[in-house]
Amino acid sequence: MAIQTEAEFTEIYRANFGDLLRFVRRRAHPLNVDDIVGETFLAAWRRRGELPDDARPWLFRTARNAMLNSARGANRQTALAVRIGQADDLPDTGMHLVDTRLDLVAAWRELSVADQEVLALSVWEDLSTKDAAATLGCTRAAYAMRLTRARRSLAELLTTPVTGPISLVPTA
Amino acid sequence: MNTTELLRQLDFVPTATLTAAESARSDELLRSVLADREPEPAAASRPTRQRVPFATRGWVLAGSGALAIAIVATALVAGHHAYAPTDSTASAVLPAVALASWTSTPTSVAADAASVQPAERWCLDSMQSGPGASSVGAITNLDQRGAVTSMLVTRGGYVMLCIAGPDSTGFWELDGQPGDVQPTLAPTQLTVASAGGHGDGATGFDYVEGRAGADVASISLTESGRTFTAAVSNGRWTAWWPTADPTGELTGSLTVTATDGSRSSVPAESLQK
Repeated sequence: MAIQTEAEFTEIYRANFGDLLRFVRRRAHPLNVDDIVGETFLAAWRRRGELPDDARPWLFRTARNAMLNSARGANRQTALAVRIGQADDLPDTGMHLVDTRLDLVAAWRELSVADQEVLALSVWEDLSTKDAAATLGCTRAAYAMRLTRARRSLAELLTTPVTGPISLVPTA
Repeated sequence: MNTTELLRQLDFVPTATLTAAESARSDELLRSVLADREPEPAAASRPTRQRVPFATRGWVLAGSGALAIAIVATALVAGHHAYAPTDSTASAVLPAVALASWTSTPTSVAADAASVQPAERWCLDSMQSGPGASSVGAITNLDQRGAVTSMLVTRGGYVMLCIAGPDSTGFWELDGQPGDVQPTLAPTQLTVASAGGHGDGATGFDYVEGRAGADVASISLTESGRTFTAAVSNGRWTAWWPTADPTGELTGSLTVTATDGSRSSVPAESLQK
């Protein structure tokens, strides 16, 4: 989709700003969020002539690349860790549910970063397989396989007793 | 409440509505972006990224230097990969004419049957240097649907699904490796080890592979408007079917027929939690 006017770009910007902000907040250091979001939309503006009809996966992928590239040398990553919320921030709906949430938070932190990434795109970004694959830059088949394995890994962690202390502080 | 629903509640950033401050900052950023007059980079070249100073307040965009879009290499989950002559959803892994010959019921064939030799050769040649290459392989779960043959190749503890069409087309992927946790299944229980899709339109197809309990005699799937039978053998099951928009996600249902004739149905989604 070749964006011709500022009005057309503004429409895309307004439609995707909130989602992109949340995407980056789930992954980047709080001090870097503004920079990443700003860089992403600046890149979109500069490449407005080649944005796809649905710009959201493109924006997510660009932001993801920016976050990955911010680490240099030995710390360079190929996947992004995703923060999870705090179990005790939710309404108290009974001890059983609280315990389950605590288990889920602990299990999430035991997941590989790659597994966190594929699950987050499905559960919190609510992306289709096609859009999630475009965000990660892989085929739909590869994403579907990774998602299946990530779900299985999480299920296995949930059935494994947690042996260490459970921290309720979100992953930094 | 299932795990996915619980996980949804644990979103680190659950609020969908922008605050007043965020809306104001959004407007400020938009003004900054639209004020940018850097020429668009040519499609064939990408500018080099320069580090942008962190904003301490509001939106600060670097006025000089070009902004980079460095394309990160695809991250592959360690130990798992898919091979196809052209590994892209935009190209045909299996030709349309092969998919058009698909049958809802597979033809079970022996590994030494002449009709499957070309497919077996293609699969084994394709994974010649793949996982477990130093071990002797065993071919199981062979099934033919028209011009396409699918099979599982097990060697050195690795399990590969291979789907081969005519004229050296097809793909294979690694679905299991040594050390994988394999919980004991209930007699009619099913699991999904892998699911995916390739192609588009007339060349699109989805596939699934998993484990089956000891008393599973047959499995019928309803997916993408079709009802068809999986291939079940040696405690594993496989199926593939044409679909114009492959997603690799099972959204329909499965009906398991046990060795005693009893039947039970499960939503496909329940196998992917």
